Amino acid sequence: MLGAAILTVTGRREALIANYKGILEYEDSFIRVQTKTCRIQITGAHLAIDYYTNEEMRITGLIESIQYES
Amino acid sequence: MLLSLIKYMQGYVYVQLTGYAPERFLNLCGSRDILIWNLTPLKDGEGYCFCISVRGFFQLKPILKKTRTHIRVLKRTGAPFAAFRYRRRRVFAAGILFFGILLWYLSGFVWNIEINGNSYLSEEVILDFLAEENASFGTRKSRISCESLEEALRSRYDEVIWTSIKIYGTKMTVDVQENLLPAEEYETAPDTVYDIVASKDGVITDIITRSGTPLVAAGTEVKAGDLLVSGRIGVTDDSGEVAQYLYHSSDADIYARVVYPYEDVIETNYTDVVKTGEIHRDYSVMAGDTLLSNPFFHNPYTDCQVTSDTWQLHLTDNFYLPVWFTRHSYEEVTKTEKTHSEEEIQQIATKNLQNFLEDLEEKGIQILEKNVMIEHTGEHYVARGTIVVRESVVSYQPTEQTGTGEAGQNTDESE
Repeated sequence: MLGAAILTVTGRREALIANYKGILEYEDSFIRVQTKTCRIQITGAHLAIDYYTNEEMRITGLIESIQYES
Repeated sequence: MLLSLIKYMQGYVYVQLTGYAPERFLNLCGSRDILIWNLTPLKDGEGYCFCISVRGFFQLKPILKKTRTHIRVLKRTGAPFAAFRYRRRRVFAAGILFFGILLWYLSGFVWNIEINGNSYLSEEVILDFLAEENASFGTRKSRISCESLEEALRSRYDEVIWTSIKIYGTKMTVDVQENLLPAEEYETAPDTVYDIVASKDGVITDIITRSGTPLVAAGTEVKAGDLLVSGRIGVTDDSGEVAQYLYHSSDADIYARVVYPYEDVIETNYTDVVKTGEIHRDYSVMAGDTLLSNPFFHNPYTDCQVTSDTWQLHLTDNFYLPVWFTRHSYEEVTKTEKTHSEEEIQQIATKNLQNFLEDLEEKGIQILEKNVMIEHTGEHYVARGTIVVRESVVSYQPTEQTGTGEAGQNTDESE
C-alpha cells in the first residue's frame, strides 16, 4: 500500500520505522510516531533514537510493546 | 567505521535541547534533511540530547526560533575542533607535516623483497641479481621496470622458466617457477646425437638398450668416460662391410657395481658446550644505514652464544619501512674439554655411516655391501672401509660424426 509505514523489528532490542511522518512524543519509556494511516506507540525502557532522517528512524533499547492507534 | 571517520573529519557537536516544543524541532530537522543521531531524552523529560554535524548546527537558527527551544553545546568532537585547539602548536603541526612527507617520500622506494618458489637458485643469488640490475633494497620504485627485470631473470638463469615480479606498496614480490627436470631430459637439442658414456668406474651389472649400439655387456669392467652405447649404427651391405652409418641418439638403462671409499675421522677430544640458563638481552634499532645500539650495554659473560632476532617495521602487509629492530640474546655457556669413550665413538661412527648411506639411498642408489672398520690411531679414531652399490652410470656426450651424417638419417658415406 502506498505510503504505509514499514516496521522492522529485530529481536526486542531494535526497531526500524520507515515511511513515518513525524515524532509525536518521545521519552525514555515510550515513543509515539505518526504515520500516514495510523500512530505507532512503542513502549519499553532506555529507548534511544540511533538516528533519524526524513524517511526512516532506528530505535534501540528494550522494547516491551508495539501498539497501533487509529 | 568509515561513517564514523567521515563524521570525525567533518566534526560534530553533542548538544542539549530544551524548550517549548522539542518534538516539533525534531520533525522540522527531519523535514529539512538535517541529520541527527544518538538522540536520547533527558532524565526529567524536559528535553533531549543528540549529536549533530557542524554544518547542520548552523542551519538550526530558524527552527529554534519557530519552536521556541534553546540549544546548548555540551561537547565538541572532530578534526576541525582539534585543529582549532592546537592552532598555536606550530612545531607540532610542522612535525606532523614532516612525518607525513617523510612517509610519502619513503613509500616511493622498495624496502622489502620476498622471493617465492625458488629451490635451485638460492635467495642470495636472486638478491645479488637484483642488486646487479639496480633493483635492490632502497631503489626508487619508478626506476624499476618489472617486465624487463622478469625478462633479464629468465634469460640469465636457464633453470627459471617463469617469473613474476610485482611491487605492492614498498614490498617487491619475486615469484619464480623453476624447471625441476634433470638437465639431460630437456637440454638435448633434437639435431645433435648423443653417446652414452660411463659416469663412474665400475662393473656393469645390467644393461637395457633402447636405441644405439651397445658396446659393453653385463660383467664388463668400465672406467669413467668409457663409451657404453654408441649413437652410430653401422649398416652392413651384402659383403659384410659397413656401407653407411645411421646416427641416432642413444637411450639405455645401464647399472653398474660401483665401489665408494669411505673414511670418517672422529676426534677423541671435544669441547662440551652447556648453557647455564643466564640470559642478557640487548636491543638495537637500525634506520637506513645508521645503527643505533645501546651504549650502556656490555657483555657480562666470557663465553656466550649470541642469537639475534630482527623485525622490520611495516605499517601494513605491503608497506615496509627501512627501520629494523633487533634483539640480541647473550646466553652464557660453560665450555669443558671432554673425551669420548669407546662406546660413544662407536655410536657416532654408526650414526655418521647411517647418514652417509641414507644420502646415497635418497639419490636412488642401491647399497649392496658395506665393509667399514673403526681404527684407533693416536688422538683420533678413523672409520674406514668401502661401500659397494648398484647405481646408474649413464651420462651423455655428443657422438663424433664422421662425414656428413645427419641425425636419424641415412648418409651416403661409403667405404
